[in-house]
Amino acid sequence: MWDKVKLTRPSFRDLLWLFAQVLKASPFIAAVWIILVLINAGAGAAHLLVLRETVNTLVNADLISSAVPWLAALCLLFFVEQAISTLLPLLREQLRIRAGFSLQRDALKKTGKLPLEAFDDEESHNLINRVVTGGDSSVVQLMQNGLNFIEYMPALLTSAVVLGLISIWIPLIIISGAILLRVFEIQMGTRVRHFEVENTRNKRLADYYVQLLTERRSAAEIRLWSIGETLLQRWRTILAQYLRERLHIDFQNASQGIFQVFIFVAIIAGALLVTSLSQGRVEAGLAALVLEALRNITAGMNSMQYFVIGFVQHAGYGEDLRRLLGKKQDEEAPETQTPYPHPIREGIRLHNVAYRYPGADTDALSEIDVHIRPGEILAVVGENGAGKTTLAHVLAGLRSPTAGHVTIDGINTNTISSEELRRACTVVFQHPARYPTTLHENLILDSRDEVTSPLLAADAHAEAVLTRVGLPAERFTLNTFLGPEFGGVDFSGGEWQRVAIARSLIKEGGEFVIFDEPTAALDPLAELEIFQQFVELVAGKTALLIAHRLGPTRLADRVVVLENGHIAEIGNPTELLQQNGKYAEMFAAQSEWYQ
Amino acid sequence: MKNTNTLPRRAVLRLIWQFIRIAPFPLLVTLLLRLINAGNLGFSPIIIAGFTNALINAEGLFFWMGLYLVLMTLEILTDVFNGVTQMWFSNKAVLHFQQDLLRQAGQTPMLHFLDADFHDNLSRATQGFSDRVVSWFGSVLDNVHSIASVCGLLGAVFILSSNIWCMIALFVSSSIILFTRKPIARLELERDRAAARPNRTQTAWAARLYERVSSPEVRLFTLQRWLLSKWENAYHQLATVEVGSLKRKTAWNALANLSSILGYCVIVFIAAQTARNGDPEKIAGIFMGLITAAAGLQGFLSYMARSMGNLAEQSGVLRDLATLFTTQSTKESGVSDTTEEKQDRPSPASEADEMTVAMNDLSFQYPSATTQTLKEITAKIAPGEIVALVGKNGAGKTTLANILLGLYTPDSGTLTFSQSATTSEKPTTSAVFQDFTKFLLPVRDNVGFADLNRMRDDNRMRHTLDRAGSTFAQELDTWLGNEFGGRDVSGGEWLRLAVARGLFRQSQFVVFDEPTAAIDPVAEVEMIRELLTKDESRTTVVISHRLGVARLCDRILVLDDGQLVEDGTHEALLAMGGLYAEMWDAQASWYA
Repeated sequence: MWDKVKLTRPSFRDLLWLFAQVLKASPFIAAVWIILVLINAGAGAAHLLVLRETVNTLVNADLISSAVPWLAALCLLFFVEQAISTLLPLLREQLRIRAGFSLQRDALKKTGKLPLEAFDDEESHNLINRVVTGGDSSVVQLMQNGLNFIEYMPALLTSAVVLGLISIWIPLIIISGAILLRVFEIQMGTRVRHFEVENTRNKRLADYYVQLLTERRSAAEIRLWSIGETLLQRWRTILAQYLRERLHIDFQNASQGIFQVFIFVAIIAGALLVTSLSQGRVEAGLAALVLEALRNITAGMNSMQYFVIGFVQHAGYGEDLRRLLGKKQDEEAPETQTPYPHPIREGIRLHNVAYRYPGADTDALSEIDVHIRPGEILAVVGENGAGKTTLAHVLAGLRSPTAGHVTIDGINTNTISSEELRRACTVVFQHPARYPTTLHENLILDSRDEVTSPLLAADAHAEAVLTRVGLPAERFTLNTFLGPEFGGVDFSGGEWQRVAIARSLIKEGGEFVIFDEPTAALDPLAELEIFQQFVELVAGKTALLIAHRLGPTRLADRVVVLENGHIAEIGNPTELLQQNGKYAEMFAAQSEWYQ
Repeated sequence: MKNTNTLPRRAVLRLIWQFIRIAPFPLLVTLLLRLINAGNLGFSPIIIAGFTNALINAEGLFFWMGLYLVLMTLEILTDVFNGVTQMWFSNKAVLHFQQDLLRQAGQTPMLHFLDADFHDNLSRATQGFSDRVVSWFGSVLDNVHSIASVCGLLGAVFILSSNIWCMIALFVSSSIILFTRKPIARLELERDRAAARPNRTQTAWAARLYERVSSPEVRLFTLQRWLLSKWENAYHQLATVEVGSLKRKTAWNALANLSSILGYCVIVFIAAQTARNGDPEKIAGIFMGLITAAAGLQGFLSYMARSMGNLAEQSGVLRDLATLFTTQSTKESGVSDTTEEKQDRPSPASEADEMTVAMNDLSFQYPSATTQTLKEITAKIAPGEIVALVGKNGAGKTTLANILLGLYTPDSGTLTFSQSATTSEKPTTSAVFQDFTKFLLPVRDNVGFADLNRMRDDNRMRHTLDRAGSTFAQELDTWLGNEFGGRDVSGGEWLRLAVARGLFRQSQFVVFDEPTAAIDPVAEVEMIRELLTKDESRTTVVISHRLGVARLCDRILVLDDGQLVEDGTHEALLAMGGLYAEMWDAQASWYA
């Protein structure tokens, strides 16, 4: 999957686009920055011209005092250049921070809108990872190099143009030489980028070993098995090889740099020769001007080299970002918008539904034909990988069936906006995400109070719900910060599960409730309690209960047994037990413990 | 942990010496290149003076032009190759230092991983650690380089002007520049510290938006806006820290630049004066040479100030490294029986050995907690006994398991392991954790990590994988997890690999911490049977919420709120009618 990364030269279009983003992110600062860059370039040119006059006056005037205004002007220009070079980094960094922010926000926003399938497909998942995770550092690098480049450009150009006073040939020599150098530099940058793309896997593997060695999650096993030293040696071997090869690339680039030095020297020698040939005996001021201008040009080109290489190296980010932003997102509300039926009268019907993950060889669900009656609790059981969670995703509107369709009260779910579909659904996930924030925010998953359910407006209600799910207010307050990595309280898996259940109890208006294996990590008393709450929660609603433990499925009106994505059995739990099929077998295996 | 003392000079010297030892040759080359570069700079004003005069007077033009071109060539060449040689030695340094750091991280007590401060420090130290060590030593070299360059340029000024006022002006201006380095360094250090937390927070919130595991939840609950606003807040915090520090830094830089402007002005006027007083033929040359030197000095003085500042800032980072591992938790020093407990760890033993585990008044409290998680646990587990540990969520089961495995040290009380015979160095404790690690590495590593010596014992590994019900027995070298281009593995399959890992190590004492919570019932029955195979030589502790599992055990310990409340066989506890009986009834009612 790594070789899929396309290698492209930085396109001029990407460059312009990025620059436009920078302008858009903070037009005022960008304007000030550009004006300062231009003033700086102008000051550079003025500096050269003033120098010429100063030297001429010094050489020719009878009194030194006649040179004083020129000397003062020289000092003033130096002052302007210094003042600008003090301010530029401040502006540049702010531009970088703001533009980086808006680019990353766009990328994250877009990521949030991508359909779930984007995460199944390796290529697009990698793209997301490259843009968003690597984003911070690559966007910073790209911007810094690009902005620095732009800062140096005008000054370089004005120096070259001023030399045109002597002969038009000098700027031509310098500019064509500079273009030649950029070609070399782009080649060098591409070489580095090529290497990095090819070795991403090794670099990431080395980083992965570091992660294993330093992360909390793996700390216990590393100590128990005493594998720290082994992991360390592997890390070292991989990284040492990576660094060695990377150094080789640098050495290649440096050797190519010798050519560059020749081009450089040739430019300077050419400029000097043209000067002395066209002028014969050179005027003192002009000689000073030429040498000063050449010094500026040498210094400028030398610095620009790093920026060009750095820019090319990270230019892939611009392209990746544009590709990500251009991706198809979750379909917007369809033309013929139908509201979600409230309440559900005829039930939810799956008509020969099949689902296949992108890139998979076989269907994860096939020929699913079920009618979920209104107010019914339907349990779904089956082995790991039988398709239970996929089915839940399809019913929650997170995934569209690849064949067949789903109707609610006869309305095809395609015609209902996915947002409404999701809003009508209450889901308790098997592994609820853990958010490093307060318990209160973990419950409502929103920091703006006004949008939350009116029920939550009263903290007392939230506290009551917490007590109901077994998180009594004596132990935690609503403002308890969760997540030990950020100095908060460390919740156990079971406690997080309770938080998720409390969340679903607080949410109101869900027509359709999905419980995806919610009690796997809970103790028996809590499990019983939670299922009692489940029954309460779903009273009058339609519900889907995914379970490994078959005991609770007896709460269901009907049970679907999934096997490799097909429906193996369906029926009332009591009937299924009598049929001695798959369900009966599983039930027997489990109840055996308790006989 | 926020220690602001400066790094002792001896430590700095020792560090430099280490660098010299790690890569003497590349270091020598780098140093040489930098000195050539600095010497070059010293010559440049003199050559420019000569060349200007040669241009004007058309005398010795080619001689001076040749010199001038040689000067340019050397300047650029030394610069280009300096980068490569510096990379050369820093590679060696990175490997050396990060290895030390990681090794120490691996030896730090596990309890430290619960500490947010420790985590901040560790992430600061390991992320971009290479860059920091390199730039620290780079700063040392920069210092040498800039000081040499400044000396060269001062020499040139002196030769060209031989004016004492010139030197005094330069001295004053450079002292002001150097004076600003300390506050700037402090600002940068403060920024690094202040930025660590918001930076991690920012990353954590962004991750919720782009990670695969959280993607269904984000969509279903339409959390995009909320998560984005959380991320934005953290980012703004980070940006505020950075911009604030940058503004103050700019103010100090402005002061430094102002003084360098003054220095420049003085030299410009003195240069004009000097040039006029000398040979009329050489006015232009001397003036040019002096103002070139002045501009160069201005640049190199601020370079010197910057590199000195960087040095101070970077040594702050190195101090973080130093404090990271020297601050042992107060917890451990408070334990009286640490050494004794260590001696008692089940170490040398052969398979036939039997082991008794005795817990005596064990108490434990997490560093950030206000109450004890475990309160005076006293119990004894006989050799070969299979004991179930049950209780509500949060009762302290996993904490006790971690203590039994030696991952946490109890605050008080003793834990002793005793066995009949000793010698031979074999690992003898094993475990399967609830939140086991999914090693994104080949199958062989996932299983073999439990017993590195048998990593190549394919038969045994296959046998173990079969026992755990894994389908990977014939694919020992298959990579797992698509992060590194391997096979995508389901949760149940990962669990079987973790179980295989637990079984692979031949142990006398094993802990199963709720390993089967997430698999289907038929598979669970098989797995539990396999795990609890009566093996006289192995003492087993099982944590489970499935009380049917507990019933299979010889004895059941019931924890409630950190206390051992019940201890006995299944029948005895049922008869007692306590917490266990209540839990049993709750669960059995499903199957009644």
